[in-house]
Amino acid sequence: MVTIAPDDLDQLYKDLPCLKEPQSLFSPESYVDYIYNCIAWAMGSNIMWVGGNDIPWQWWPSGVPMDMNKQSLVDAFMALGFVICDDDSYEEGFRKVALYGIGSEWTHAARVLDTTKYHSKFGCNCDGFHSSNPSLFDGTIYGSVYKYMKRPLADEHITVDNVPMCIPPTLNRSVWNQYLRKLKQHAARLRAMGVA
Amino acid sequence: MLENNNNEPVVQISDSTSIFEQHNNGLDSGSFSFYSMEVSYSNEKKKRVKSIQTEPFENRLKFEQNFKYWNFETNALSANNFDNASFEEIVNMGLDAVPFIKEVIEKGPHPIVHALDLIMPDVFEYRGYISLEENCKQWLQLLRMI
Repeated sequence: MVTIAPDDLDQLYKDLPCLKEPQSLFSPESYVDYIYNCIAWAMGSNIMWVGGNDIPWQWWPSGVPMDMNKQSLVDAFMALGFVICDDDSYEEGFRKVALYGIGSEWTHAARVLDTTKYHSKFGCNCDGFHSSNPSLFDGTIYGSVYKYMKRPLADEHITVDNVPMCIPPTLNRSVWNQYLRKLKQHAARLRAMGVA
Repeated sequence: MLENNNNEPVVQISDSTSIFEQHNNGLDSGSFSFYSMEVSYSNEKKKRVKSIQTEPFENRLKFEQNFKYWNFETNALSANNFDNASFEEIVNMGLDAVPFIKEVIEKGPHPIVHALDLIMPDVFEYRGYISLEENCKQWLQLLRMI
């Protein structure tokens, strides 16, 4: 268990007040981290953000629609070797995950530790243990579990194998020089005011 | 009670001063109305406030408030973190927001870096995946030229 800053904990409790309750079994296991999210964590990575935004630092499996549709998240996990299973019961040699959603949209994913406890990364906040109760997050921004999936432990390398290589962007110098000139003028004006 | 030229009630004071006389032209000597005095004083004050340049402080306040709200509103979300009014406010600040974004990413990788791509489009041409850390590093290299 990790002691995270009170402000970070307050932010988490604001969105997920259920975690305050003792029956949630919540315990923070990391500090706040912006690098990875719940989907990456459930897929087995803590070095990238797996998301539905078309942003250079957010990765999404190729060939899977990049949207918030529940099936798209199932397809994203399938692209990394997961298959649908009935429940979160223990199966020798498998890693299981639980996918959460509200209405037609996915919201969250968690690693299944055992039938009583899951391990989630909470957006930009910390990661932590919590109860496996499928309705734990009912009424919050995560909603409830809509699918369980599993992958053989022997296939965990698939996620690592799929972590994309960083491709440095190309700098458009003429565009940047225009902005740089304006930014320098702005900075000079602030210095003249004695602010910067 | 005395009245001024507009038949408004005025208050008589025992010791009239030049200040009151200046601000109450047309009134009987040695008297002034509270109303007139307040207006005169208020105008003086406004002139003084206008002479202070508040824009840089307003920008910082605007950024910090919106940054705090955005973090607060999207903290536990794993997607759609940028579909948010406070984030849009930051982007709408344009180049005024850039020094503050630089301050944030100098402390460590942060998703706010995406605002730079929206404020200054086409500076970078992305050819594939880049990690958040690397994206922040690339922008910082440019912003340190300012």
